[in-house]
Amino acid sequence: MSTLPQVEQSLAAIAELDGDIHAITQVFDQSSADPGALPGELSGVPVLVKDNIATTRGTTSCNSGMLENYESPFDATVVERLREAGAVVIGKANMDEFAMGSSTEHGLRTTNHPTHHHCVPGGSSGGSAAAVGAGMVPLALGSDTGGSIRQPAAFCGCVGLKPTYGRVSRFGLVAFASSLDQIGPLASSVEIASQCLNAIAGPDSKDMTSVRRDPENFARYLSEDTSSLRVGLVTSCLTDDNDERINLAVRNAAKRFERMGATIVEIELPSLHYAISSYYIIAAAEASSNLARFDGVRYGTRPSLEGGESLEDLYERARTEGFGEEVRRRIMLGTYVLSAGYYDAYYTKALRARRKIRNEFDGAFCAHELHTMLLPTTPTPAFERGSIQDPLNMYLQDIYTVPANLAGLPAISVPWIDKETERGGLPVGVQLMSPMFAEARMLQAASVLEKD
Amino acid sequence: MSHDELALDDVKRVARLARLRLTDEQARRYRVELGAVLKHVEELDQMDLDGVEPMHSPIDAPVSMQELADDQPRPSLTGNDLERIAPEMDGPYLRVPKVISGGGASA
Repeated sequence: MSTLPQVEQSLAAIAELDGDIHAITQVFDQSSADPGALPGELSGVPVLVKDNIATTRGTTSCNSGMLENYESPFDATVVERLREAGAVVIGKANMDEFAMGSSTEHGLRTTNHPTHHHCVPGGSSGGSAAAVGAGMVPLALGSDTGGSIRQPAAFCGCVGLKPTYGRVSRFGLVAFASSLDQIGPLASSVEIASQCLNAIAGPDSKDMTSVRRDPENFARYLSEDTSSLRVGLVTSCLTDDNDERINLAVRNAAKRFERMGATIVEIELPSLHYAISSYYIIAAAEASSNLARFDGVRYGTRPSLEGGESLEDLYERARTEGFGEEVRRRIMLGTYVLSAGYYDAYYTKALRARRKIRNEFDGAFCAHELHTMLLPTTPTPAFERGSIQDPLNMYLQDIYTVPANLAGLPAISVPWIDKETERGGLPVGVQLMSPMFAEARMLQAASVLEKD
Repeated sequence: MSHDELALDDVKRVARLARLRLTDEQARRYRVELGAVLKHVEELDQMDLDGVEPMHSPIDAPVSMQELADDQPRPSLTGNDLERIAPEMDGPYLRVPKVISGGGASA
């Protein structure tokens, strides 16, 4: 046990609840390494870390047979920074294998929804979201390549923040798609998410994509007047294909903004329709390249070879036996779109579509002088485990989250709670998306949504 | 984009490029599943992308804005670290099957 009250509380909650949820893959022994409360904004706060973020304690498995016993020789930069801010990393959270999935059903272990155990928690940061949603921890880290923080946060009823691309160092994050990946918090409140961003943001010499900016306090607008906020309501995302609770939540959220004195501007973003196609080509292409390093030579598990088997056999068997179904599928897709004869038709075209989507965002923010945009996080609340078997159908679940990754924008999902959407008891999230590096204003707007 | 259906031979060729082995059953399933995804992404043909530059990264800022490491040697992983990570080592070397003249399990 620990001497820190919040840590002790979390450990007790995990012992009580996680047997039915399976959000957590490892709890670190707190008795041996408990330094007492270090000073800092997150002093004594227990944190779980998604299992694709490197920790020297325990394993960093990515929920994959490939890295089942992988012990990282270093801590990720975000882990060091959490510790410097006084947080206590108490363990690792489950995920879809190599962060590929929207349900935490892929890989060695699955995770259940925190309150509706027959449903999925979303993914890929499903363990982080379920643990925060269940109240086991106030804060967890996830990674978001196409919605993997925001979608599970929406499903599990917690706050999920994807910072601007380049805001947070990815050193120690097992790479999935390097032009899209970003680490961020899943938290029980917008305030804790802001404090976590204060701790983990900033340049890092170990990640050349981390951007040098002046340090700022992301919580600085949280208690400020919101009447000058200008919010774009993306009406083209409120289609009949969505569950009606989702559209209702977004419309009610817009009304709340208006009641708080903010200005709502209805906008349409026609290119968003194409975001899924652009995203799945780019993400799969980058994944096929990033995951080429898992060859059975330098990392992970190696099959025992028969006499006469070659190096080529070793590569193929290690990868075929180590990777799960969905990871193999995406590597196949990525290899195909990058292969000779298809590169321009798929990959280059997807990159052009990406620019067009980004330009459309920039244009809308600028033309209407918007601080943020309001749209759904997901088309539906949490779905039942095993209910989506078709890969393409699963990919389409990410329709509202992938645009922020393609464009590099910060985005946040906030639980929406009102009597009209409460029916059935499943949480619903609404999403805000803001211009590059405008997290502070976005968090201010997000705090409006969590007020009753 | 090719509007032809994905052929089984294409699936097998891509699996070889990706260093994955597929059973016939898996190859047939991937043909259907990947075929459906490739069909869906053909919708990009409806976009007007003339003159739009490909966007490789969200950060277009000049390199000077970014954090580049000094070009100085610094400590890296130790032999002990490698031993913990790698599946098979021989002294300071990673051990792999014989590469030259094919065949032979271990060098």
